[in-house]
Amino acid sequence: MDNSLDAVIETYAKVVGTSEIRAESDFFEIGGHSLLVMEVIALLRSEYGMTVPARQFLTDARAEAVAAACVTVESE
Amino acid sequence: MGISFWEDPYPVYKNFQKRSGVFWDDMLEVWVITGRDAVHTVLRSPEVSSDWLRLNAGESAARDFPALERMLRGWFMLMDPPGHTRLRRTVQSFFARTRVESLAGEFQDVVAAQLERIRPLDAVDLAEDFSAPVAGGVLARVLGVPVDVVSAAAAHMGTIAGFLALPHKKEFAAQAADAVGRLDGLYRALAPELSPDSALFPLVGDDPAAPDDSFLHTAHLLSFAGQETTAGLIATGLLHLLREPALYKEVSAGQAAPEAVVEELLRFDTPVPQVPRVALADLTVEGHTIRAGDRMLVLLAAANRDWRNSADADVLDFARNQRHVAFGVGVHYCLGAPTARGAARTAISEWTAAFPAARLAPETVRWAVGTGYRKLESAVVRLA
Ligand code: HEM
Repeated sequence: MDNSLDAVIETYAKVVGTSEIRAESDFFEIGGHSLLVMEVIALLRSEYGMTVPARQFLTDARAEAVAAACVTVESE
Repeated sequence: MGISFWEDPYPVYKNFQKRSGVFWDDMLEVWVITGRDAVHTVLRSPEVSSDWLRLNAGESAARDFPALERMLRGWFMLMDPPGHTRLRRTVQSFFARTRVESLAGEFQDVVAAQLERIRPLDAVDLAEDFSAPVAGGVLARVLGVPVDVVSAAAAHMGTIAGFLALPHKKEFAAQAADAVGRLDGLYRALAPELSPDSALFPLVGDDPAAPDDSFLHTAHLLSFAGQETTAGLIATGLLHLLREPALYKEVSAGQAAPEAVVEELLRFDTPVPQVPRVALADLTVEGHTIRAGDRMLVLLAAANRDWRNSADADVLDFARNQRHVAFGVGVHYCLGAPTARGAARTAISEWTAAFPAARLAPETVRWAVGTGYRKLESAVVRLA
């Protein structure tokens, strides 16, 4: 759980271009654009081997909520 | 810390366009249209709709705010023909190129008054101190309404734009609904005093004490579509010139045609990067089948750079052929294009001529975040 939270926070930081991100930071409120959600999902998969459904960002885009919805995928 | 999407969205758009002129985005559940030909195909297709209710079928939080929903359904920008055509025609002649060009002297006066006001200052904010009041003054003149009404209306546009960018968010809908209430108040108070040669006069109806809904809706639409866009073009345009001192010097010395400068700035960084659409029937675009009911996000800003056909798309160059789609394509082509062009040509030529030694303070540049349009929030410039 904490690993996935770190991963989400790092990914938000990379995609949004800011470093001040906490567990309760909402992707859209820190400057994420909805067009960038696909990039977050792709990075979580390629860098950390995790997947999260895109719809999660519409329900709750806080880092902790996205981290909780992440599932680790088996490496091929 | 990298450069955010809001400071420079073009690298993201470029990746999209390199991937495909048309692709499906899983989160937004929309087709993203990035290619120049695909943009033309979609915007010219009779199978493609701008209708607010179709665009937001079942999704928008506006359902819980009847006044907001009614207003958006009353904007002809968010209607299809024939309703669109009928309403647009009522105001069309006021925005025609010949009428707007006949107001050139008044645009000049608006710009001169703002330059006069800031001339004694050491440093000014491009957005707040110059582009916003110029846009408000020009819009007030074209609409034939007092400038303080236009400025008061402008203050609510960010809220409505925030909601349109994320229409599923209930708190945004609540704020937008509140803004609509205030705008209604402003324009209801104006109706009885409206001059007969105002663009809005034909819409008021028989009883100015109880103006028709189409008057209120169109007044909101024109404030929404006209203010931030025009202000944005002037402010971002000057910012980009200030970032390229050689170009700034050329413009300030009057060595570049104002028409070419403004068209190139529209191509390079437009205030309206995207417009929404929804398919009424199946259509094929660049080999992809877009199904009836599918939504689309048409990225005008990506099409403007056209990286796939142009090696130097990221370079500002007044001498190029500046074909762009910044004002859209087809039946919804921007009603305000002559106004925006006139305002920006005058503002940019006169500002650069007045302040040939102006210098940007780069650390003060702030872009708005979370809007569906592109907005320079502030940028401080030293005038001498
Ligand atoms: C640089 C400034 C401007 C830009 C970049 C711009 C851009 C656009 C674009 C892209 C559209 C097409 C929307 C769509 O297809 O869905 C549009 C439509 C429109 N614009 Fe502008 N605009 C600007 C200034 C203005 C001004 C000054 C006014 C009015 C005073 C205005 C009024 C409108 C209206 C009413 C529409 C809807 C037209 C229709 O649906 O038939 N715009 N604008």
